[in-house]
Amino acid sequence: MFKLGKLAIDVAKHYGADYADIRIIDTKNEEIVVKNGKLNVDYSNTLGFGIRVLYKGSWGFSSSDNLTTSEIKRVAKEACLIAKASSSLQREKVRLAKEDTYKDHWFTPVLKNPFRIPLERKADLLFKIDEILRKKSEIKVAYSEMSFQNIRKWFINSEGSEILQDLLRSGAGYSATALGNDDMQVRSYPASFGGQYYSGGYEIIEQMELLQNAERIRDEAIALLTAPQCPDDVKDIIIGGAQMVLQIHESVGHATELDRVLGYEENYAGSSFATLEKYKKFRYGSKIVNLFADATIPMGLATQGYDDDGVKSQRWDIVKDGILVGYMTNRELAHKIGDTRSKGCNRSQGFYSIPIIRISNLSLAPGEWELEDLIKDTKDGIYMDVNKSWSIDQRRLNFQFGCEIGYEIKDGKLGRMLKNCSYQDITPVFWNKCDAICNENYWDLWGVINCGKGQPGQRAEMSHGAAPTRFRKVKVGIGNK
Amino acid sequence: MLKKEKLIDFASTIVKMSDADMTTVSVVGNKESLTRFSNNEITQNVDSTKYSFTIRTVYDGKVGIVSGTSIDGKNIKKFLEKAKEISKNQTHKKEILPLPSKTDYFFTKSFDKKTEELSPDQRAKYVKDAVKICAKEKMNGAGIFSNGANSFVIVNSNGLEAHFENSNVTFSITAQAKNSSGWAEQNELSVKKIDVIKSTQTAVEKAKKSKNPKDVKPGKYTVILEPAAVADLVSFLSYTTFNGLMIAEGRSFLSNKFGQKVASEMVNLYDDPYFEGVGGIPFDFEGFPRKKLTLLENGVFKDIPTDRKVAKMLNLDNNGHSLGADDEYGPLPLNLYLKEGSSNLEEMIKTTKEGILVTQFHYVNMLNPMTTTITGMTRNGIFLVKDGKVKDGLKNMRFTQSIMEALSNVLMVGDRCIVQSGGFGGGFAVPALKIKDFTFTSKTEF
Repeated sequence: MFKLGKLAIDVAKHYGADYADIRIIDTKNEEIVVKNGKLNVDYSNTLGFGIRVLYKGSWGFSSSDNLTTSEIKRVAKEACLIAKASSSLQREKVRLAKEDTYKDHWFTPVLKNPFRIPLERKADLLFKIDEILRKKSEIKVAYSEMSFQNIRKWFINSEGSEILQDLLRSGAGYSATALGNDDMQVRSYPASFGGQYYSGGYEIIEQMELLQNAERIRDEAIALLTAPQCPDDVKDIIIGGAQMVLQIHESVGHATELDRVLGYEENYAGSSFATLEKYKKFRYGSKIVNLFADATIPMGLATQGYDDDGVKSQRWDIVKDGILVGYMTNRELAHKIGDTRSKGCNRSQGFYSIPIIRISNLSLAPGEWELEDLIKDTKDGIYMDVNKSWSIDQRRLNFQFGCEIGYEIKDGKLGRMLKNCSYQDITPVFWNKCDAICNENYWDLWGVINCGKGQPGQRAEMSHGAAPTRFRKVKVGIGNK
Repeated sequence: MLKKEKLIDFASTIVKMSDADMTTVSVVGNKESLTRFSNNEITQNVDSTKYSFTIRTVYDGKVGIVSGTSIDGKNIKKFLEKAKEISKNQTHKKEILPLPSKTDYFFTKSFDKKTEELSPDQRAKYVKDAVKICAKEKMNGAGIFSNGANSFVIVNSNGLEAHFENSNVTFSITAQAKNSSGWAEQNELSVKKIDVIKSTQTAVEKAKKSKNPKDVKPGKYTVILEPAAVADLVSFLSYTTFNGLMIAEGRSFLSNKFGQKVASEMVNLYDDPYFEGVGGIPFDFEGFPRKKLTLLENGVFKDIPTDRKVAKMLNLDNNGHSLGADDEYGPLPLNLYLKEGSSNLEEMIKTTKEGILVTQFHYVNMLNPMTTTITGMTRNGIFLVKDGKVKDGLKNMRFTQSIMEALSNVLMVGDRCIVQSGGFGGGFAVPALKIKDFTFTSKTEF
């Protein structure tokens, strides 16, 4: 593969490229789904390459799923022609931040390769969950799934890097949809929209306690049908880890992508309120809010050796003691904030996509509270968890998020279950209301596998770590009558 | 893109090589070229042609599905063996329906070779024309000019051969001014219809008109929604409310409401892949012909999208809306057409004492499918309408609103449909709507 990669670089240089790189990507996926007793298994294997070139400071990119020498030559030439067209409308030449060259083979640590676990064993676990979920007639849809992905990626650039990465991730989850009382309610485990995902092997699935929680999840879905609505009010809220992941992702992760900040996503995903004049000055949250990005953290979905710029993975602060101190950057834009090196956030969905800045693994550092003490310390509040819906404006200020389940907190005690819980606020106002974070015993990484951005649209995966966190006086139950 | 014969030949070869009881092969081809610009310069410029194929085999009532890229035919044996292995390793059988046989389809013109083959230099020229206008107005232009084509083939071991292709071109622009912005977009099947200058001028005018935006209090307002905003609302009807399986399983607002009036009598909604400019596929993902559906007639719920499973559940005919033989999501209307009325945008504004004009929505999401309640933000041009005239630009607001309640509160329907892109399966065609009592629940800072 490295030989094919070098051919691409040579051809691109021949056609005038000042910089070129190629990614050859071989991806295997296995999806196993059981819905209401019916099994679907889907296996896919894709292979292709994408070539990116800089010509006189402008980008060109082309790709193909036909991995032959003649096609590599054609695509390298085409990328150069596209870059030449780009250079005809240029205000500023692209300048790449310096990065060492690497010759390396990096791989995800794995104990049990999920592709070697017999299909029957994986399907049987899902059938057992399905059986428990459907034991009560109120459950109309029981849906359980497992998903495994293995990416083998060769990166070669004109500066001399030759990197092979073997990335593997595993995930599973299920949901129960209950109908009755003129209502429909859904409960999911461990998280909604596909479950919980980590980088790693089948050992992850074995540690998820999937079967042990199925009965509880089923019964909670049914109980929600007759639970009272979350009141339309202002309350103190404690947000569980499975919902905090979404809060971090939408209101900090996307807001600190440097390409958004600089207007590159203005027409589609949007821009950001966290503009450059706020860098190292702006109070994003209260003093206890510390958010760090880390592409080296064990089991994170964005954990890898190198990004698609060939930049070695790093850990850095985004919000320190409540102040905005960092952005997600790549080699192209790092200099815009005065950095001489990229933080390594350039990633693409596949061989057919150009790398763009994506959120790294971004986490809220744990605090000092025991959850029990935090509830005791809350007079009039709501505990809510597990994401149900999300929406945020194009500058990442006004957000409104919904949760699957909530519980009233009255005078320090957890009370009635509440349904249709939602909360709405303005990002920095909200993070400044944060006054308590639970400790590391409650902290976990949560995987996001459906983050969309870019045109043409691309999907990326990352993880966010969080523990239950309290925010004071937040608008809740929007639209509930 | 590869020609029909080549794609059919590739799929047929796999079907012939398979020793399964039933075999279906589908191939999706996608060529996408896209020039992206922001801050008045080209920032990304990409080209991608890719093919993916899916093989579905059935052995002894057990299904195996495998998919891959590259249609050079080299690894077909390996994929067929993997599909067989998946089938053989299953212990649970499920009901397998027979494969559809060869049939005829109704085609509309949806492919233009010149549109597929636009060069990067031609795209750059269009972008330069747009950026020039923005720069002159001291605004930052950001957007895309994209062109491409899609092809879709299904071949099965019961003799079915289906092929469809469409081309597409999109120009989309946001004109960003000091404290306001404007947006316009055009989606067409042929580049001949693209008018970059007109779209850019529309975006620039919106940005100009909405400068120094004012605040209004959240609450219920009469709204005039331009077609892009209407598309944002009705797209949710496509995959939730009118999902045939959700209706059958009692999980939709429309469950048990067949034949009932559920919207204003001014609302006539169809699923129509044959509507001019939409570029819809004339068959479903099993290969059954897609019938045009009357979903709402004068506000009355009439047709339900079905596949064979849903048809059996509801004792209806299969009208060809399957997402695949093993799909568990449910049959969908992929090409919604909201029939135009008799009012133009000017009349809608002129007849409004106090209301809000919305260009587009942003990040809309479903809150409650049983009530069709969604939430989202306004974006790139929201205006106060007072005494029949467009007055100030407004700061963006969040709405939390039931779609079906909004369709019951329609006051006027626009006289012109605009096609909004809906991906490789074609798009939606919708007009502007004037709606009373539309609920805004909060506001933002810009």
